Amino acid sequence: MKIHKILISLVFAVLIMLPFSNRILHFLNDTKSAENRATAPMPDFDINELDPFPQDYESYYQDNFFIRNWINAAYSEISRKIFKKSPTDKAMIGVDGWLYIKTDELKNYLSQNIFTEDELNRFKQEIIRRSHYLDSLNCKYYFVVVPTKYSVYPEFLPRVYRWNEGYTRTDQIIDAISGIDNMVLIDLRKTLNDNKDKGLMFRPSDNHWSDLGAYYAYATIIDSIRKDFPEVRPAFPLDSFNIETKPINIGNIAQMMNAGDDYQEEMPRISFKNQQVWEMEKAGYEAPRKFSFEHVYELAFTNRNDKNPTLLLIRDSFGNTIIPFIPAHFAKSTVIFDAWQYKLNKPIVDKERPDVFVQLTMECNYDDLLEHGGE
Amino acid sequence: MVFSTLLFLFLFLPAVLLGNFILPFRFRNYFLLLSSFVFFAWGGVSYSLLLILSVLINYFVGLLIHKYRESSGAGIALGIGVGLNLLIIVIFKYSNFIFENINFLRSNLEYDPINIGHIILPIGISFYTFQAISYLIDLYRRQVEVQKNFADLALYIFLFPQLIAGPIIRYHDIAAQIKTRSNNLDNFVEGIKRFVLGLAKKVLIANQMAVIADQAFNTPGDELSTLLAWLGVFAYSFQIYFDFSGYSDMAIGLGRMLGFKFPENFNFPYIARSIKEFWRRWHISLSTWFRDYLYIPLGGNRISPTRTYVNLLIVFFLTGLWHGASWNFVIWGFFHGFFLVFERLGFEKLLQRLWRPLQHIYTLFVVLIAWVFFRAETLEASLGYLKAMFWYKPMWINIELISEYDNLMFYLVGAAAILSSSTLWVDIQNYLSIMQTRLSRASRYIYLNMVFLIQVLAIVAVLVITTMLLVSNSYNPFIYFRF
Repeated sequence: MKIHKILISLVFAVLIMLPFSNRILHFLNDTKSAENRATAPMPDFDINELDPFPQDYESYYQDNFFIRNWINAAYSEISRKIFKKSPTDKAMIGVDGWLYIKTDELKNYLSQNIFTEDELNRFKQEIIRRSHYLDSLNCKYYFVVVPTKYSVYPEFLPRVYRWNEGYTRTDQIIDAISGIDNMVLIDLRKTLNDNKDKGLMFRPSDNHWSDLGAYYAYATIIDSIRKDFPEVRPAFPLDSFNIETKPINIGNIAQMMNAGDDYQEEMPRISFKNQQVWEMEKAGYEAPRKFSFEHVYELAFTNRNDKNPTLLLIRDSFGNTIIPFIPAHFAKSTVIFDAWQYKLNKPIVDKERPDVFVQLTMECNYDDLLEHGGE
Repeated sequence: MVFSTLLFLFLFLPAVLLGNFILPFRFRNYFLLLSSFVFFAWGGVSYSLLLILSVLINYFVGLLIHKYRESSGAGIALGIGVGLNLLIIVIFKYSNFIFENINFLRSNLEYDPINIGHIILPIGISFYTFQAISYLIDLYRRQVEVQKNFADLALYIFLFPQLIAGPIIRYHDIAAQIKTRSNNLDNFVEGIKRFVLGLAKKVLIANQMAVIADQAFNTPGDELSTLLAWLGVFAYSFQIYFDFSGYSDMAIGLGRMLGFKFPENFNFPYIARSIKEFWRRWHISLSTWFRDYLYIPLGGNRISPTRTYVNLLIVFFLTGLWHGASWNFVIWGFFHGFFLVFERLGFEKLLQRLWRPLQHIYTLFVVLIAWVFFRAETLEASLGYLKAMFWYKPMWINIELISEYDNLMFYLVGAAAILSSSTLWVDIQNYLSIMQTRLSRASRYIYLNMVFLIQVLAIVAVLVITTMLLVSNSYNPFIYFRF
């Protein structure tokens, strides 16, 4: 029937013209973006340099497409709720609302990235090199293994992943580097597993530990340091802190899945009842190029007790929640976020001459340490 | 530009359709030529000069063939024209490959390598060069009239729906349509349906299958489980079919919306019961091109059985090479050529006596194994992949990937891929068409309205879901771009 053909043509024409019409008439408004990035700008049309224009314009068009944020949110919802599938292949949905990052964290948990003898030996030699150098400066080296969520909460993984070989890269490394002179190995996997009954050590929607997890990690690190530096006061007990359960920012995995609305979490936030840490003037070390967190590359704190040793803490994003606690035990704490390079940062060591060198290393990032070995 | 992008669907396409319907017919070819040029230049502005050069060469060589049609000059002009077209394709597509091999030999003889830099492959070069050659040969054979209007010849080579991934259209198929064609409602609606079908094949099936195929083929053979290896090759078989046939459907549909009728390019190749039949159903425009412009001129099957086998192997060697400048494509071509020869040697008769499912299994098995060579980057990777397929390795070694395919979405896409590879939907459609003729007038009225409603809902659903996937997922490779 002719009317059917006319209607099909009209439906098709309306659908393909909808985005352009909306750009002129603005009859549909988009929702707020859940992405934490700047959208691509409208490129300049330069007749002398046309080759990059199409791709730049395509990025601009894609980023500014008709009700893009709403479409993204709807896609995420359909994917998660109907198909029970993460809308991004970088993450996966576990049980009871737990989310996990994939790739290296999962491979590490499944023992699929076991080091070769050569890699393991190189890793060991690098730790020995660092340890010897720090020893020559009379500085004690603490190598801290930060567990992934998989090592602490495998019970919330999809059923198919709830087993592993048991012997991971971390176990290899612990076997390889234990007993190195002047180096103390702190494996936080045990700490966090042992304290699981006291509250959530990790956030369900994030791959980082919670404030509570960070607190127990801090207590373990300080306990270890005190064995070499008895003048350091013991870790503050939990009753020294205000513990307030309140809504917190959307977890990074939920944000990756564009699922913020479904993962509003209330978690205990921990802060000192009485101020124990004061910010100091920074030395002004230069951050790695194009580092997204340049503003927190270097931090400096003091506990205003000159009798305490000094600390250089090399940290990654897990340091965010541990920073408020550890500096309360040191006369000076220099905290460096070295863009997941896990370097010795020799120029900073040479300048700061710390008594204590703590290196937080997430257990799926050993490759980064290896890659920057010798630097 | 790629059809399955937001920019094409919601900016370029509406603009072209609008322009095509608003402008008087005498301006439409110029408008389409300009649109096609923008479409092509969008994939690489600098490449456009090469395309213009190609059109200029073929235009003037065409005029020469026509001018000297009564003398041997036409043959010389044809030789020059075909030679120049092949030279362009050799320089831009095969130089890197040729010099890689020369340098390999030189290094064995302890000579320094020759450095030619890295030549970038212009998109669609294999398609438009073959179209241009077909024009020259058909003109020489006097199967078509010379095209004296430069813009019309340019439109034949440039026409955007088929420009970068086929079907390879012969000049005689389209010459008359360039002069006159009908932009009517019937064509437009048929075009919409075909375009939307192709879009669904490409975005809803091929792109989803690509995730599994890429994971499998990007895993080194010795780290690949047998299950993932087989899943990967099945996924790739679906990916390449729905990607390429989807693109052809979109091209045919777009052509139809603009008033053109392009030839079919696929006819359910995975239901074939022999390799010979597979090649009658797969990339029909390429296999008929090679048949008409290479196999038959070589003597086809008219000289002797041995010569027929040699001709087949030559054709499939070049078919492989046409798909890409690498030994893997050559092996893929020879692999098919070998089984074609094998069937001609007598296996075909034996095959026909077998139980039909066994004929399908044989064909699919050969095609699947051949796809491993086609998809893997190197010969070593292909052999590693084949080893993983046939030398059992437990699934736990790739367990980290299981969440990608152990989910409802993958099962649905898999079911859609299997069912859509068969003639099931066409058979149902044909059955319903016959049934509706037997209905009473009132029932027929209801039936037609229901069909209409389903069609509208399908068009809306495909466009909405496709848009969602394109907005949220930038994983959108077009496999046939590299050919």
